[in-house]
Amino acid sequence: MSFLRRLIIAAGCVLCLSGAAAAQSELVTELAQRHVDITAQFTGEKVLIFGAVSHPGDVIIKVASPNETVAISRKAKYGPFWLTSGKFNVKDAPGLLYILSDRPLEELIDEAQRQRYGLSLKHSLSAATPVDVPADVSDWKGAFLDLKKRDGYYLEDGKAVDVVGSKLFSASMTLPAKLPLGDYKLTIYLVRGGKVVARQTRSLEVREVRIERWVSEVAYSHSWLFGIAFTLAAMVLGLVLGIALRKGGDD
Amino acid sequence: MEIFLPIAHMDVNLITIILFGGVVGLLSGLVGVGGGFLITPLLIFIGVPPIVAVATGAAQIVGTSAAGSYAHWRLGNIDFRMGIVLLLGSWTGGGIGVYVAKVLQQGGHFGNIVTFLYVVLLGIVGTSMLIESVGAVRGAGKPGKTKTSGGLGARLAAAGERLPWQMDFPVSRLRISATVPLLLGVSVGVLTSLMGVGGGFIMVPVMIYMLKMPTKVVVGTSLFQLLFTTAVVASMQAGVNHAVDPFLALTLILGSAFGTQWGSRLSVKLPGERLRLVLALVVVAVTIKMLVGILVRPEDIYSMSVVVG
Repeated sequence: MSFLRRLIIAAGCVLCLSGAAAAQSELVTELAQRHVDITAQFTGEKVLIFGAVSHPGDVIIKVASPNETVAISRKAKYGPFWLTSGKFNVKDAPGLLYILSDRPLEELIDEAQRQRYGLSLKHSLSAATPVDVPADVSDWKGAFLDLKKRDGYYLEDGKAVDVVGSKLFSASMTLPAKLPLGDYKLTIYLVRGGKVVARQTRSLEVREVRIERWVSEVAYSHSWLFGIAFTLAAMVLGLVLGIALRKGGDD
Repeated sequence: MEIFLPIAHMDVNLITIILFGGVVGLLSGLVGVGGGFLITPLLIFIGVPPIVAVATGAAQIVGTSAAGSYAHWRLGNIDFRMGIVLLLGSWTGGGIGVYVAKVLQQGGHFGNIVTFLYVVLLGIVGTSMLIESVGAVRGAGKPGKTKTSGGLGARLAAAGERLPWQMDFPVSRLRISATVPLLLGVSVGVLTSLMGVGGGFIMVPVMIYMLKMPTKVVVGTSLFQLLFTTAVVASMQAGVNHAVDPFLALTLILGSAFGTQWGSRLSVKLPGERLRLVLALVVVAVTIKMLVGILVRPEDIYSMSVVVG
């Protein structure tokens, strides 16, 4: 970690210099990598964000994956049984959403600012729309947020950003194993005196490079062809295995 | 070793799935039942979505019944005429079932229906097996009372003679209305779509006790219709419901192919009554686990899944 830290500081110094060259720029940021490649062995990954600020301030980093649709189902009690009752979709919500900062958000900016910049989990869900919510589900947003937080897809962490010597900052985020794919948008905000004084965006591409992806695409886009071909393959495999094993047993 | 299942959208342990296949194959090799009715609940227990468990269960049966069907075909044990009539019924029933599954899945009720169907069906099958095998283990040695299939069976047979479309089935030494195997096929087809089972546990007793077909023809013919019913249902489940997980199915087929071989070798050495008792206990245990699953308050009231496509 100390090596990593030295690396950050070294990189930060370079950024400082280049930042100085860029004159008025208050905030300079960089990602340690531009891609996350999901392979068959992918079990999550640590991504490092670092940068420099020209004057002291607080840093908020918002990471959002592309939007996706999720289905939420709920269990309810019917007589003695706990059954699935009521299923609804939530459209256009980020699959992953991290809001990282060096101090708790409430200490940094007020509610109005948070709403304006979408700087809280709740305020980032303005585009999210529920479809066919059962009448007796009063708080779909609460249920949605709880599930996302439980599975590590949504996170608000007021201690995730390290500010070093009030000039440099770094944050590392650990992405979970099952990641939504696509271009992740990272927005880094510099906050001073309760106001956002500078911001910068970066992007991180999460790509899947494994056979599972291809299989699932084929299974959806050519579902009938896939179904028939796979069923025939299963039949042949069963036949071959059965005959081969029986022969082997007779010897 | 974890693998990601592209359709079920989850990670599973490869060894667990091979073991599931192996255990079910072992049981089917030992006792001679298909294992579809155990695979689906086991998959649901480890978190596979019910519709994927059901559809993949059907695909797995295609793989595990192929070799047996081939063997019976070589031995001339298949009544193709009967098989085709059954298949006409089961393809119809299977097709209906797949679309019923689609509607239920969209409404979010599929999991509930599957659970109830299993609790009821496994409950009946398990309890009757338990009673029968406990009796057999106790009374081994005494001359067992042979099943009298008079009463209901005879009355149904008499009713069957008055139905239209009488057909001759020479291989089965039977003349009966085609509506009987058609209806039998339809009901088995619906069960294949909704539960991921082959339906042998209904087909075989009906053929033996009610239709009075020769036993070896029963085994060959039911295996033949089971293979092509599950094949069509699996294709439709993939086509309509996108629910067949290829990795899951292949792993299960692999495991059960080995399990079946061990099972059929072991069965020569082990006493049949005790084996059936073991299977009965397994079935009852699965039933109880499913029942507990819906009786106990879940840890999380809400659950979430990503909508693909």
